[in-house]
Amino acid sequence: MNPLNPPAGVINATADSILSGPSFETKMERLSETEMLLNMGPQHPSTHGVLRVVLKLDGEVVTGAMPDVGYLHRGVEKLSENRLYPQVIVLTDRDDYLCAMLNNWAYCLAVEQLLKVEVPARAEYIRVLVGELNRIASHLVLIGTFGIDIGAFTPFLYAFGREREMILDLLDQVSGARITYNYIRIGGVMADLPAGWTEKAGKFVAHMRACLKEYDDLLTYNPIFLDRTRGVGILSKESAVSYGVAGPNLRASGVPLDLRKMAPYGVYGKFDFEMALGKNGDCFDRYLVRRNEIEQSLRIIEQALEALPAGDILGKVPKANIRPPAGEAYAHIEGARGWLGVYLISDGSLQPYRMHVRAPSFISLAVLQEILKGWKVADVVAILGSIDIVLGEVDR
Amino acid sequence: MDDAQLVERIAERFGEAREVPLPDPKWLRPDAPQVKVPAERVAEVARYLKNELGFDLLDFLTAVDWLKENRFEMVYCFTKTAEPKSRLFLKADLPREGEPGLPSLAGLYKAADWQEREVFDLFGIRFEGHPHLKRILLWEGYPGHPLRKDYVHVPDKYDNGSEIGLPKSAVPSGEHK
Amino acid sequence: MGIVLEKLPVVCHKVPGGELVLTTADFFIDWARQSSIWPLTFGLACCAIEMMAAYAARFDFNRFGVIPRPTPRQADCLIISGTVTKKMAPAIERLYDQMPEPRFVISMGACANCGGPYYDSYSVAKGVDKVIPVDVYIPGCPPRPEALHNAVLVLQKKIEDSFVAGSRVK
Repeated sequence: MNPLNPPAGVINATADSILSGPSFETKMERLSETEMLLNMGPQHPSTHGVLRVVLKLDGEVVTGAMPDVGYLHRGVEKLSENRLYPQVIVLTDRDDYLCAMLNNWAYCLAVEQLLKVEVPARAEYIRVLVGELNRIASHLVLIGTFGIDIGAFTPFLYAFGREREMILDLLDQVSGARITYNYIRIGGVMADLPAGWTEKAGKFVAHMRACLKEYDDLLTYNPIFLDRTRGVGILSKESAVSYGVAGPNLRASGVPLDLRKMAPYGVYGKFDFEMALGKNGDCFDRYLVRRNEIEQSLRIIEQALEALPAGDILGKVPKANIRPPAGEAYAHIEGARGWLGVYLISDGSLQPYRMHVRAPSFISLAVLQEILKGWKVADVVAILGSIDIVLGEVDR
Repeated sequence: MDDAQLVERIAERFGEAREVPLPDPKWLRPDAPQVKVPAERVAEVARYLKNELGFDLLDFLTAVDWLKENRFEMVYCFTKTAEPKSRLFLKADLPREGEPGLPSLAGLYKAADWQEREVFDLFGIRFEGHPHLKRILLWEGYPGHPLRKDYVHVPDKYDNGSEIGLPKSAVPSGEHK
Repeated sequence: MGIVLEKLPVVCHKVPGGELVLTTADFFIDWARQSSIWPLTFGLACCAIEMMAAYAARFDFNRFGVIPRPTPRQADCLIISGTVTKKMAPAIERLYDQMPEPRFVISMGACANCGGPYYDSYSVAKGVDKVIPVDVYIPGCPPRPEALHNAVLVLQKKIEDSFVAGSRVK
């Protein structure tokens, strides 16, 4: 295929087609003489995957932005209609590959609602343990990549190369995989914790606490970092709620909303932790909320390790041919990027009739077209990095 | 206000609104009230929910294709930021033939903007009053709407000629869809 | 490289013992190429996270001479790290065309090899080799960073065995 002349309909990637398309005409007025279009992505080092944003610029100031997603659309919702119930867990792993445990969890909760299975207490605690560890790993990715995006390379080496690897080792030991675990199963978890795991996890908690100070020195109190992030890309409370943003991005705007606290699922009601909150809803607050959330997750892990009961790890679920009774279920949990919901319809057969994922990244990304306006091109990268999206989940 | 009162209040205000009946008596359902309204009144009801009942967060919206009953079902889930435990499902039926459409909520909840585009993309349901209804995940000119149950995938040059679905041997007792 | 690749073989073949010079030139050029594989900073999906882990401190890709470049014009290796969708495939083809020769492609993970868990999806290309030629395939979903290291070692071996003065390298 000639790259300069792609067949119609395959690539809608030229700026011209966007410009003449109905969306651009309604979304943004025509270009004036001083304006130009800048195509960012789908291959761009700081779009965190294959996101494409068409920016309308006046000099260096963004006057309009049009995110174009779908470059990683894998059709998970259709595929899940053609998979057996346990097989769908594998697909949820790859939805949001930075916190696959939480995705497993949301899906399994939905199936458990239909099956009406009691999950054993030990399994619930293990879920909390691995889920919170995975949440920390996911936030560490944000700290690392956000740093790179705005020019600080060193935090990446610490976050990605040291602490996150420790978490991946811990999760590797329980599940056998580094990032796609398939560990949380319908009715419980796949396997019990290996011997000596709880001690290792306890050691990690202590280590991570000490490391947070390093991150503070590297990023949180770094004057360049502060200049690049404070007051940049403000997302107001009203806007955030209207866009349906939930999770850390909403809390950064000052709305106290955390499902773990306000509508506890699993055993979250038993833990003592605080909700990390921001004030202004700028990039720095979005970063700080995640940094503080790591601290709270460590507290939860500590308490869960202490209270970890003995017992079974899998409820009364058939070994094969899981066939939930007909009905619909909606489970939503506090994912690392916001509310992660799974809407599931069963018709009583071995395969789901319909599965819809409320993907937090997809919903947060829609905000971009509003909050990019008025900022410089260099800030686009900072704002995009602070929203913390995973393209696998945006596109599904 | 408990669930029954909530449904009653909506039904009082909108005559045609009613609680969604169970398709069969054993049908399971999330622990939240479900209200069904005629498709053309969705935006009105949503405005009422937002402004007077305090459902300020549109959690998600999606569609379900009930091929056997020859209808699409739109599913909206509303919740409150102050009280995330209270949820409300709003449903509306649409015919499968022709160009099914209903009013857009994009002016009311900005969350509906992209999610309605997704439903338009994957189901082919039109939303009247949406500012720029065009495909979001697939590209312009994609043949068909893949989440419809009667969608037939036409293999192209990037495919091996494989069909959608598990091999028949993987699903026991002839339950292959 | 034009002089070495085009003129040198012609001249050397006329001189007695000229093949010796060619062999030495081969060795030198191959050595230079294999020791500085510069891949494009280009992540697609889950495998990209493992690719980033491979670049980070613990696995340290730099010790193989592998340094990521943000533009295809400076890169000579394309790591396809993740699912190639039909919407993305033309863009990948274009990126490949923008890279200068000699260029190498590593297909990382089940999705890039054959579609992987999405083998029956309506929107996923069943392998990146439907779009561009591939030098090294890595199995795994996703492959661990060590597997990516191994792929680079395999690629280095492949480069080492190639004849520059012939017509092997493309």
